[in-house]
Amino acid sequence: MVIRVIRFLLVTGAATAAVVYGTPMALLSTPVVTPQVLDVSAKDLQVSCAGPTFVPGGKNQTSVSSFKRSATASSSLTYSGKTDTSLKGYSAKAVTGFGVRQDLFKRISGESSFVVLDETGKTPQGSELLSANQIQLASEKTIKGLLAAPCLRPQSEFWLVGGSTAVGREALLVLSNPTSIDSTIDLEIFTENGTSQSAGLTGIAVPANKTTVLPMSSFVVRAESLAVHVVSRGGSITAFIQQKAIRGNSASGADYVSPAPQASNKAVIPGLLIRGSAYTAKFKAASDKYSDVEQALRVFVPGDKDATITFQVLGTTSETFGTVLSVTAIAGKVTDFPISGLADGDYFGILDSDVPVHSSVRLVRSKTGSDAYTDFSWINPAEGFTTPRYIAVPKAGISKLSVTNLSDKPTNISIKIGGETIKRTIGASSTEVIRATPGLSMGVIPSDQEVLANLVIDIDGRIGVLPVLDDKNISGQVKVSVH
Amino acid sequence: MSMRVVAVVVSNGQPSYLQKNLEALEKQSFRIERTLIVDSSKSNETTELLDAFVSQSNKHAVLAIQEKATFAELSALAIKQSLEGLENLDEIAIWLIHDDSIPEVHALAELVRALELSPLVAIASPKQVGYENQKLIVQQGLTVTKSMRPFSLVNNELDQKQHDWMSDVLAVSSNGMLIRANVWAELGGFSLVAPELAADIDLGIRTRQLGFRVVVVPTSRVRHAEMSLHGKRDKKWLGGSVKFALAKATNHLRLSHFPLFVSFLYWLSLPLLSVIQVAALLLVKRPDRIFFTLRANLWAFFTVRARLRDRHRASLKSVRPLFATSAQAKSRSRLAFELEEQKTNLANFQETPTARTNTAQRSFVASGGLWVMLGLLVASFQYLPLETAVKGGFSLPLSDSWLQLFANTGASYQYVGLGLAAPSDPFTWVLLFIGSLTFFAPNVAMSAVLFVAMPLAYFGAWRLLSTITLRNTLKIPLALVYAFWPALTIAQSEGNFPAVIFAITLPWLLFSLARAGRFGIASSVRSNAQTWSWIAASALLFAVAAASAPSALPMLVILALVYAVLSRGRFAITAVIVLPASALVFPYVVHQAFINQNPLAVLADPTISYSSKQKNLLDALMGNDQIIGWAAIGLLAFGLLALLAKAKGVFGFWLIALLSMASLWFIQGIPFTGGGSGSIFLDSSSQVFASPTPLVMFTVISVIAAIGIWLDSLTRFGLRRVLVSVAVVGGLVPLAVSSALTPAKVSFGETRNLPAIFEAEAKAGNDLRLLVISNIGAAENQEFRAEIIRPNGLRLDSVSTAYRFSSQNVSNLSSDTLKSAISELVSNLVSANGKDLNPALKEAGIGYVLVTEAEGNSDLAVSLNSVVELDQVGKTEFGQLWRVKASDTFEVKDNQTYWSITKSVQLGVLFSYVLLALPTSRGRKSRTDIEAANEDTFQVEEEQ
Repeated sequence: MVIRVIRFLLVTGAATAAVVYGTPMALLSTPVVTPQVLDVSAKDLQVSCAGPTFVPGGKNQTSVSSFKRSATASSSLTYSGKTDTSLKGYSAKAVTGFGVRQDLFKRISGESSFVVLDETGKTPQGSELLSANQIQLASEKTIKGLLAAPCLRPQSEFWLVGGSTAVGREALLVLSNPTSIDSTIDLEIFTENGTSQSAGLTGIAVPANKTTVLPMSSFVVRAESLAVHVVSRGGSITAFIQQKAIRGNSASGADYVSPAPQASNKAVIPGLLIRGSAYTAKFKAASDKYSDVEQALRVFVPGDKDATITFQVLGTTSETFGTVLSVTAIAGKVTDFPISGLADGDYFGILDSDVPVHSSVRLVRSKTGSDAYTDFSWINPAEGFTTPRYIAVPKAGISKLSVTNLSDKPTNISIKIGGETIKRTIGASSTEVIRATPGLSMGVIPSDQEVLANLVIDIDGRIGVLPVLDDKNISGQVKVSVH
Repeated sequence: MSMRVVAVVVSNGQPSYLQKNLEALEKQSFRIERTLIVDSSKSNETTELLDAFVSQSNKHAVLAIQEKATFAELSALAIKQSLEGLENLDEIAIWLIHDDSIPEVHALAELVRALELSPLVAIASPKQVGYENQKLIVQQGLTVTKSMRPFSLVNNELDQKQHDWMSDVLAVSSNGMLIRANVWAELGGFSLVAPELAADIDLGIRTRQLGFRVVVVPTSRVRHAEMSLHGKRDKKWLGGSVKFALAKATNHLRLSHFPLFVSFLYWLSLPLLSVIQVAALLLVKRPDRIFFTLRANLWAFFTVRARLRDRHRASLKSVRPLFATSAQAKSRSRLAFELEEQKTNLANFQETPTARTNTAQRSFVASGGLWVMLGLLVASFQYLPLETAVKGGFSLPLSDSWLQLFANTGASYQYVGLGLAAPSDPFTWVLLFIGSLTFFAPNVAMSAVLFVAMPLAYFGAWRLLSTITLRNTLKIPLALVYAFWPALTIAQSEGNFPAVIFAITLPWLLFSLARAGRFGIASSVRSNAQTWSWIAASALLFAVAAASAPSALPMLVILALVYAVLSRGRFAITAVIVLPASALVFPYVVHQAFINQNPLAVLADPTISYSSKQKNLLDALMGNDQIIGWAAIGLLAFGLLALLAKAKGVFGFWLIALLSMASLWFIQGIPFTGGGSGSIFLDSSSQVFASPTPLVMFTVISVIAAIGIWLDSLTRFGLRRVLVSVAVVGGLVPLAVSSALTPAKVSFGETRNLPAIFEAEAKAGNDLRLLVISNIGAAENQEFRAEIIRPNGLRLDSVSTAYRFSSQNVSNLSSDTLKSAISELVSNLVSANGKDLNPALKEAGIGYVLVTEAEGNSDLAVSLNSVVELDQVGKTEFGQLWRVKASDTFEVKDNQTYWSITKSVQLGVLFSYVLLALPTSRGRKSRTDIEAANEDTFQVEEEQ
């Protein structure tokens, strides 16, 4: 019996020790796959601008099947002017880089592409090399408002979260193919009622170097809330939704819905600069035709699980108080959540969701009285970045750069405006709004933390928002592991 | 006419026997004219003895011969010497006698009388009786079977004078043989090229062919120790073991006495015949005969000229009536089989411990086992294979065709990725076995594995427990605990086939080992044939376990050592058991250890490098569900109480459990290389860990066995019932609920796991390759993973672990030109920088490029859209696909072969063990084993 008890104690002790303290130690290991590092030259960086707005064609601008360009748009470019590079597309003769940054402006009457020709193929790409955008203050009878959009690097997939085909609202899907390869487009359209099963969503042809305009109402009628997934095969494209509002008999408000990032559980939207909130409230109360004159969060939940969302709107100063939305968005549908109660001030939004969602915010500016107007802009979640990014600033209007630091520590950033560099400290989970100098590009240079930024443009009270992007092709050191 | 006799004694270093022999010669009632002892030994004792013998009389003489002379040479020399100076050979007879025999007083007289009575009798032989037991006839005349196999007419039978009627025989043993000197001279004595055991028969046949008679004289008796046949002489005496000598004798008789054409055909067919003989011997469970049979066949094949020199023109027709009849052969076989069965029963009676209870062992079916299995099938409903193939988790489909599956199994060149000369994973043999069950669609059987995993694991555990206890109330719940254990459930849900197959195999392996070693209660082993079946089954299961879970190899080695010790040091049998596993694993181990220079890689799990986390022992034992996991821990703690019981074996099983846990701790501390073929579609990290399931199941089965022994030993029924109830409610029920509710991570679908157009082209014989590219991590990292997929597709049987650990996969060195070229190609593709890519695409034979759906790959698609060498095909369920425009002009051919030397050896070993494992019916055995049984009874078993 004594032996059995001793055995019991020994085995119990050993087993218990093994289970309790049995965390394996990595004493030995086998090799890790090491990739090969290769220096590759890049494809020339190209960005394409959508061009001026489209208005209905026909003699009296009443056609619903044909569209024509209206007036011209103003494009703004910032080109680093690196030596051994040149900019093509700005003028008949390529602009040669000579080591000094150049901020350029050009009126465009159609879709336009700007390409940085790089003889070496080794010049680092990104917004530091070339960044462009376009704005157009439309004042036609059929379209009024400020339309702002970035000029994009052609891609094969886009998510456009914004727009409406409700009564008096027109959403045109503008698909441009700046490449020399024909492209075939497939669309997925989501509304507040779910996925559209309309005919003609696939196999839409966009010939090489052409633009195709599609009225969204031909796919979905009277949809209050739109989200569109665009996928191209063949040549890469750019895609926007040109959204406008006709309130009664007059046009009132327009913007481009720019491509949004991929669905994610967290999204940060800087640049919620609220002005004229009292006017906006008056419009909203005045008539049903102003029902969408309010700030709103739009969410599309892909998949089959509803999203539980918290959207915090935070003020950038101690004087501005935000609000919080705690909502549930239904899976597979697009839902708008009004953001009410915001006084004039500068804000930014932080969205948290338990499942990945696509989101955007509608920002509204209004004024009543003799010079009454109302305009809106769709703002997408911003991309976080830790490396320098540049954005061209239009010469017209007032532009403000809203830079957010989401981390729990303050961070320093440097802003390059023309030849000057200014330094700012952004508090933890805070946003800094920096006024831009018209016509002078801005470079945002983070120090140690990731920051996010949007540029808000105000021309005579009309509003447009531009994202701070960093378009680049793959180049430099590429790591490849072949299996 | 009165005969004169010259005695010739052939001596070989047995002085004590020789002395008695010489004394017996001196006492013969018939006068021996001259005695000559030919001695081939160099022992002083023998020399002194012979000197003394010679000094007694001038009629005695000794001829000392060099030791290496054969019996035929010795006898020829001695007889020649003994006849020297003698005249009138017609009146002289030579009495040839071995030193290990004692002729009775009238032995020679009776023999001489036989010669005197009939002038036609040329050779007369005495009845050979036992040296110690003179009532036993050890031999009385020789003949051959119809196939010219030596056949002893009487063998180890009690002498009741039942054979005293015998007279004419085909041949006789050389011991005690009295032969006329003139016949001897005419025949030229024994054939000098014939093997020892063929020489007697050859002499008899030739004597008969001269028209003389060969007879046995039952009234003449010689005691014979048969030292050569008992293996008590130096093996050189017979030219090897007795069995080898007998096999050589058979081959010699066939080649020298069959008609020339038949002999030639026989010689030509010896290689094929060897294969058939080996298969037949395996089927009748006589693997002990394989080696010398092959050796004898080789000997005959390469010494055919010597056999042919021994041919004579005379026909066998005249002597055929003296051949052994079929009835004699069958009777001998039956006697041998019954003798063997008696021996085994006796051994079982001595070895099997006394039954612990009076309860009768109920069969699996009678104990309701089938109903429990049916219940387990219902609990596995989510794994019901409604479609052909399993996908997701660890699983990939098998190759669609059995031939492709066979080609990938045991191959020496891996047609994956960049290609590698390396052995396939040993696990591919397991896949081949499963796939072969439904050879027309290998994936069907594979899909069913997950569905039947729990029932088979339960069945195996039940059978194992049946060697421990007779009580169904213990076997059923404990076997269920094994089947429901979280580690098995997790492996099943993840489609981790190697781990699942190991968990199924383990209890069957232990059960089989218990049967082979005759451990445990209620052994059903009744014969050596059954023992061999269990040994072979154990060996095959051991190979399956080793191939499925290399991480458990250290524990399997420990198991083999423990088995060898417990089975009373039968290391040879243990070696036989581990041989198939060694054959499968050896080339792989050599490659990993010496070519990949990574011995640890041997322990890595086979199949794809599925991302897995390091687990500590507690997590590994508990599984994913922390609450239910404590029920599992509780059961193990419950097993500790068994140590307090007075029950034999509990401590041993717990030691094995502790060793398993220690192995698990060690293995979980090794991060293994990730990546490799098939990994690009997975979220595979750079390092992965071995599945803990095999070693957890090793621990669990040991503890369950300990609990079984403990509870079975309890004499108080009430206490046992309470303890079982506690274990069922507190442990089994939560485990069962958890198992049934664990969602499957695998899904069933069609076998296709690559874009349809690529697979269709591959099936049409186009060997173009698919380049799959994916971004790793954030887009700005600019790090890409690429994988070349060959036309044989992304299949479980084509995944190579050796490739995963090879420099092709691991190293960043640009020593491999193809790898460097593809790396550069990928970098140019992803940057779309306008370089001419056709040369690189052509060199690598790439026809399609696929960008996976992974996050961050949209930029890749943009780049590839602008590559002029590519045409976008479209979006597939696996990602975006492009076709290389110029691929029609590429000439690529993967000349995959079905055979390799390694594979042939492995297949040969496995096939041999399968034959050995197959149960053989007594009827078939008695038919097939006649010849083998005759060999046994021609002489006494060598090993005795």
